[in-house]
Amino acid sequence: MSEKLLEIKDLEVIYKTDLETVYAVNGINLSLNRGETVGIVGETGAGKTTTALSIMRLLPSNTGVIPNGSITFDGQNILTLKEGDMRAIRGERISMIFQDPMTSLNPVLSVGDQIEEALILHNHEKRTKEQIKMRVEETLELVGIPSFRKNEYPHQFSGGMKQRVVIAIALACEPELLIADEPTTALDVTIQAQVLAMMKELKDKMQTSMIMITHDLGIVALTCDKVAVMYAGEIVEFGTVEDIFRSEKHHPYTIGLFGSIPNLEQESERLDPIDGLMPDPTDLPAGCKFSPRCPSCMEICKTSPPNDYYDGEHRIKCHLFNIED
Amino acid sequence: MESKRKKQSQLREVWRRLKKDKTAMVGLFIIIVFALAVIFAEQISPFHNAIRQSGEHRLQPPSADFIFGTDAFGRDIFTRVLHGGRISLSIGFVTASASLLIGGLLGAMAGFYGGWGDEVIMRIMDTLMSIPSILLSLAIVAALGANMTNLLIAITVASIPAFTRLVRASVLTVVEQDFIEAARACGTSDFRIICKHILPNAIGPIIVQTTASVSGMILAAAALSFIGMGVQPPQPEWGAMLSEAREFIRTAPHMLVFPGFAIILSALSFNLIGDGLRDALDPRLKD
Repeated sequence: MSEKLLEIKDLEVIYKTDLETVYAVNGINLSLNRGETVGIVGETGAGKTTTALSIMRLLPSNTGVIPNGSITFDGQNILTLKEGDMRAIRGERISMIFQDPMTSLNPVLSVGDQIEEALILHNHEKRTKEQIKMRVEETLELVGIPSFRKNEYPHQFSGGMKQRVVIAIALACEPELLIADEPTTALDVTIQAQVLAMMKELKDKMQTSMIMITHDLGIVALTCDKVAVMYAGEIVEFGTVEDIFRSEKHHPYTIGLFGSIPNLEQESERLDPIDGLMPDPTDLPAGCKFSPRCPSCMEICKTSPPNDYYDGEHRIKCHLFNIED
Repeated sequence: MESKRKKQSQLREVWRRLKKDKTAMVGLFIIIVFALAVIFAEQISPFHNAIRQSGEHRLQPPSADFIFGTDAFGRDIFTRVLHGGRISLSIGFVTASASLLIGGLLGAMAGFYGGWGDEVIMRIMDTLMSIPSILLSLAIVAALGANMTNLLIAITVASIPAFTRLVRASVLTVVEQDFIEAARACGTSDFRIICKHILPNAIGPIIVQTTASVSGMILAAAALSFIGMGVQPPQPEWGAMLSEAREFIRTAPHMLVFPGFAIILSALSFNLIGDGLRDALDPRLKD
């Protein structure tokens, strides 16, 4: 078994303002081995991006608080690191790809300069200017952009190309962990496929671990080894891709998620979405967070939060399975 | 070596774009002519011509001897404009740069960090802004004593709030954007983010404000000189010359016209250069 690179334990994140407290992440456990890809799926507001930002320690400083839990990266609890040490990790050992390539590039710097930035900041190998320049060109070629375009500015690139640049920036230092926050949401479908295929290829080449945040189950099936389904700040189901896509036992929310995507083999008039909306994160239900929308809700669900049910590595947070045992 | 070459090429790129802007080039030309004239003022016409009084040549219109005419004390206006330019242009330049530097730094910090620091800085600026700037400058000069250095300090302090506000507002629009967060995710330090990512994106309005304020600074200095709190006579200065000319506006308009034109032309060309630079620095504008 390969070694653990990242381990999140009982992580809780709240956004605290003087008006209200938003419970964004409520005690999640997640671990990631080297070279592995974990997908985090869930609808908007489930706490996916908040989890990612906590790993980067980039939560908004005036409101974001982590009252509980630990994030261990390569044996170090990064929540207790000094800001300066954290900066040394960001961009070099953990990189992040942001959702929208249109806005995550600096419009007044050439793309070459932006790729170069991470290399200059984390220059432990004492690369010379010449070597850094070489590396920039290499990285560009790697993501499929001809290196002569390095002096061009972001507005001269198309959306898909921009996302490639963003990926090149993230990969320039060959990070051990890559967090991709909905990397293809802003792209159209054909470009999505290209970018995903490229990311997978690069990841395999560089032996990078990846956290793929998305709400698209298709992307999960395509790229991930393991999947965490998040709902209202909790991981309601966790398992390998086979567990999630093939297994008999599922959290009702996961069943709902699958019900809301069209199935090629089944003829159906309408899709079957999950009724209702996410609970208000400032005022979460007392028992199971999903109980108000759950089709198989029982009395116990309304009062006490369910424990994890384990079936090997497959983990489901639901009373349905705990009762059977 | 490499970075030097790269820097040069970026500068060359800006210069290439600036060159295409005809009006900016006109502005640059005028400023260069002014700068040369002021630098070599002593060679063109020695300073003693500017302060030598002569009763027989009072209020003469432009002629071959005095190409800009003479003032009420029979002093050669051409020489006075020339040497006055030394003072006026350096007042404009120094105060604009100083307030840009100080105001820019304060504004960038206020906008970037927010919180109570922002609150403290901006409330101080509000207080300074609530005092009419001429009164503020006057108070500073009166307290420190009337000389050139204190004049510069007074004008700078009075114009810092405008810069702070402008830079803060520009920074606020940039700081919320995704690429700043992306830069953070790369491990970039705050200082580097401000210098490399935020300021270049906010530079447009800042440059325009700086160049536009140069003329305002010259006039502020003139106003202070007029009430005896600025440049002391007989030292010539454009604004002071304008004030002296007011009495003779009907009988000897040339006294007003030449220093007036000097102020207008320098202000105009600074503004033209500023507009051109703003466009040249923005890579998003298509060539």
